[in-house]
Amino acid sequence: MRESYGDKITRIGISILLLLISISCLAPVINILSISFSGKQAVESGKVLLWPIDVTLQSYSALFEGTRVLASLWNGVVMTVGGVVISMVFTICAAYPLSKGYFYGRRTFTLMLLFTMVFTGGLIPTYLVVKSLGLIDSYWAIWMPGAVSTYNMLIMRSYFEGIEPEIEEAARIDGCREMSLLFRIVLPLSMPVIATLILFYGVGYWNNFMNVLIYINSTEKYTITVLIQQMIASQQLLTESLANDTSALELVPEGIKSAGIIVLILPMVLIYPFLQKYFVKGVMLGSVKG
Amino acid sequence: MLKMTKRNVLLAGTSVALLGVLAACGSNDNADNGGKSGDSGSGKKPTISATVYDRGLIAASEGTMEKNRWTQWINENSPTSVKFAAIPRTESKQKLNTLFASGSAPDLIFEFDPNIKNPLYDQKQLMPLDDMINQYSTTYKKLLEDNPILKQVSVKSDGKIYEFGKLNEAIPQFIIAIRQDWLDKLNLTMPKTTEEMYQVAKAFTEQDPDGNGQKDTYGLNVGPGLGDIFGGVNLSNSYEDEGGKLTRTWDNFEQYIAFTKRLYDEGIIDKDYITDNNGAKARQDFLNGKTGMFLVQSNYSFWNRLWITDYATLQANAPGAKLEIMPYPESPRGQFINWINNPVQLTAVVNRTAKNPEAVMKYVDFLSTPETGRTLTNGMEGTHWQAGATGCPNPIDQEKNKTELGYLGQDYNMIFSVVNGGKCSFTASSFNPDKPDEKLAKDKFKENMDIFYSMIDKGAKFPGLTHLEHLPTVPQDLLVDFQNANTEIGNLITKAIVSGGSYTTDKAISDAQALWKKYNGDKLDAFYQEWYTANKDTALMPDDIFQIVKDQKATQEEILK
Amino acid sequence: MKSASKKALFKKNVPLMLMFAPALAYYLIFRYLPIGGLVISFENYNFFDGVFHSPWVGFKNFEMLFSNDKTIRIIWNTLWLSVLNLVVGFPVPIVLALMINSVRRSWYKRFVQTVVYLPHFFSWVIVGGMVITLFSMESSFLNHWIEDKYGEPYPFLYKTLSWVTIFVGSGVWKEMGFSTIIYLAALTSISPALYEAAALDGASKWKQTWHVTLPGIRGTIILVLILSMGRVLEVGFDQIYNLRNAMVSDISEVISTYIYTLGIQGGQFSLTTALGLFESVVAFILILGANLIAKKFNNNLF
Repeated sequence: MRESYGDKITRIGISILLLLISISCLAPVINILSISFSGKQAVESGKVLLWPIDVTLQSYSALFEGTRVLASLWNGVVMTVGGVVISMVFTICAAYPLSKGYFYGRRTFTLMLLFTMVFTGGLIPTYLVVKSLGLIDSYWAIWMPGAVSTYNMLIMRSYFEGIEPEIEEAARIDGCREMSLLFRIVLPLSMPVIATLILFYGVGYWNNFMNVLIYINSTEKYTITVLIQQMIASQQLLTESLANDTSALELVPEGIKSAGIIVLILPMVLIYPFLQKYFVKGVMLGSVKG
Repeated sequence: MLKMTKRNVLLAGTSVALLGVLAACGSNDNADNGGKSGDSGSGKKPTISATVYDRGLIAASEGTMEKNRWTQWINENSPTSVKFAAIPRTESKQKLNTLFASGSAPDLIFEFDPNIKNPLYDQKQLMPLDDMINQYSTTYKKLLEDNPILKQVSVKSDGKIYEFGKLNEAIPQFIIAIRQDWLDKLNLTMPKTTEEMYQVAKAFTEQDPDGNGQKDTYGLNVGPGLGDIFGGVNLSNSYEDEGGKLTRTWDNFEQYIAFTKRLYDEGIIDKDYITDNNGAKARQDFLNGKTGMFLVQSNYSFWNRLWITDYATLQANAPGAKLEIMPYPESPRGQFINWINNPVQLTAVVNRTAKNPEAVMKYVDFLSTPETGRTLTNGMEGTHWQAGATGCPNPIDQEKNKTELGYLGQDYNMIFSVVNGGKCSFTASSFNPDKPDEKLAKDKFKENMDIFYSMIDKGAKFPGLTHLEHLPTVPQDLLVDFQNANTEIGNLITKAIVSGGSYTTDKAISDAQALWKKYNGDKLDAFYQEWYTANKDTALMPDDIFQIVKDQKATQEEILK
Repeated sequence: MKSASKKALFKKNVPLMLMFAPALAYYLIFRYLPIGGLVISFENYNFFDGVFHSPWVGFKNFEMLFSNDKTIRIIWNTLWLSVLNLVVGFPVPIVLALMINSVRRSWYKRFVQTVVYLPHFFSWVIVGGMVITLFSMESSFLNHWIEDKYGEPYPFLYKTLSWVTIFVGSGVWKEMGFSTIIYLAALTSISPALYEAAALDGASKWKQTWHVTLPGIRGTIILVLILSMGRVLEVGFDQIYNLRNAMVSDISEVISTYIYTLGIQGGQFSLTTALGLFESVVAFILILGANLIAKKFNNNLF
């Protein structure tokens, strides 16, 4: 099928537009990357824009030697992976039944769950519940309250509902029961939504800052996001509190902060391309014959 | 009923497992930060729980803020065992609030912000300290006796003491650093009044002092302390005492707005200063040699940052740059002194549910002794420091100290008073005169203090009713109004400064006054008046601050000579 | 006959119920139980008396909030900014997803996808600083160019209209990449056979997009739209805090910053919870409303 001239122009135009957008999104990353490899004086003077000046590894070595960045990186991974697994299981447990029209109380339950999307008790009541279950200071305190994001669950439910009923019919005729149906037919067909939710939950857990600070007491369990965000936020604190802080500690230098940010987002840069494989076209192809 | 089919069993099993996951976490071993107080048996030391700030700056090789060589040292040498609970420095309010709300807060809480501690008092979460001080304390008790002002400010509305505190150096918190080389080049003298300051700033902007043929310089930055030159423009403490009656100093605001407005209109200051959220741009301009007068914070680590690190960067970017300290100029409202570091700072409170007040008190005493103070600031003798020529600690190995001491920052002993530490606890003692850059910093420090003392002797006034940390918290029913007034008047002042001819200073002042009235400003004024009348003799007032400056003068001069 | 099918229905439901049980337990324990804490907004909450025993004040907190005309203004600001965000920010990820989807070279596609979702990870402290520098009067390339051409820099950040544009624009820019993910996933479920059929009928790329692609992801679009209603009073604190300045304070004061200001002097739990409760009620009503409308198109959530 040959492309018409108009279509070709459109395609090239789109490519260029996407290039411009990509550049605009990359620019901040490049800026921070450059700062992380630049010498202190150049950074403090605000001279570093898109390439490093006075190239040095000083910021990274200070980051790795002077903070608990490696340990917190590992913690971040553990918390994210554990959280994603737990969340995916619970989400499927909610979305699948709700996607079946014959499920008792489907409408009521959906409304109930939707309610919790906008109504929340707030920090202190949730903390009290978590505490009464003895979960404080463990990652369960992050995993449990966040086990299901109603938003994500509804997305999954919607996807399940969109699976053509002929497929289910055919499977039932072949003698398939509910659970087999789920594991052998529905889930394999749902790779795109599963990949999407893994990404959503993964990013959510990785970026989780406030909850970790509040629910985790032992600093050895802090995740990388907490570590880096504290660095970024400490600059603000000083000006706000009229500097009543008598600490003799110096502020975190810009270079180290930037190195930290790079370390923080690096996993996210690596994960997405990996998951993109699962956004595959035509998964439905071949499943409905005729 | 329920067909025991394989699938259903599997499903039921999975569900049970999942439900178990929800419930079974109780078996999870989690650190009980609720505070294990109480005597852990005869012959053993009692244990208390205490907070410590976590700033995220501890090396992995050292451990964590809860467990490192210093917590070990503390536990070995203190009469009390301490279990530390780390509080994230940038979110201490949220963290402490949730801990208190859930009844799991530690026994001893170290916290700077009165806006966190005062509500805790209001909600009856704090233990009064009078008894424990009287019965169990030695060192801290003596500190209170020798320094009654400390006792006075730590008393709350019910007449009891609720906070532990420390005495700090009373030094300027903000200064103005001026480019002497620019003054020389343009044949100008150090400005002594605000009008002269304006003239000099104008010259700095228009006469190309950096000699590069471009009009790219600023006279000054809108930095901390600019409002203080005019007597202070903070709504909570812009009052003057006229015979016992507090009057609002709107004139300060007027002068400040008029002055800054002129600077803005004539391009003498950065037109983007209002979006410079944390002074980063102003600092960059200064470091690039573009600013003639730099208003900057100058206490604690900021002093070295300015005079050692930043000075070096400045000279790299603008060779020949020479900085001098500019004394605050006299304004039409009179001569005001720089904002002074809070000399009596309240830093710790005790949880009402603490089980062993005696142990807490003994720990506080331990923290107040000179040896503890010195160790928790400078490290161990022989390993981290040795006695220098002045008798004060000199670091041995800077790199090692950075790793091993770097995270200390005095967070473990926020109760340590400089008067207990003697001269070695003063900032001026930390400079090593053998190093040229530190010697410069020390010389400048001396210069700064000399200017400071002479201004006080000549009767310079404190820029405000008193130090902000010693003002009372606004009562609940007026709080919303106060916050709104603060925000809106603040915005109004900025708008007035940047709006050129369309928004005159007079209109700004009358609008501000109208806003103040609208937000029940009269009631707020009445509140402060009442507080003032009742407390002016016991609360920390500028006279007390100046007195402390005088008390410390002898020590400062001895170190700096 | 009827009882037999009822029994079959029950049989089909049993495994579903077992499966749903843990999820339900989760919601009951970790979502519904804390909602009880909303009672704080009707009390004068303090730690000493606790959540359920603090003095009851009824609607006093709400009165205190709403008798203040500032509160009304703030809610209005929040609505404005949020609706703008929605109107601009809703279609952009869809268009972007369509564009990315149309890219043929797989490496370029992956590259763009990954790069475009990165800004989501930057904190507003960083992005805010960059945006401000970009549009500042004195240090931005843009204004240098404008100054050269027109003599005077333009105060983008200090005039309401341009500030709002920058605010909405930067917010959309930051999140658009991440928001495309869901649409990209949805696009994969459109059968290629439909495209082939349309092409055979002589439809151009535009027509194909209009008649095949968009209807194909219609369900997702409506779902996301309805759920976005739940966020209509949420204008992120971080974004405002890092982009605002005194000149635009009339529009830049929103609910989240107001809650922050109230909380500065500490202990304002009842007031802030009351405000939050109000936000939730409005959001819920809007979601229900949007759902009713979607029902007309047979795409309702429930």
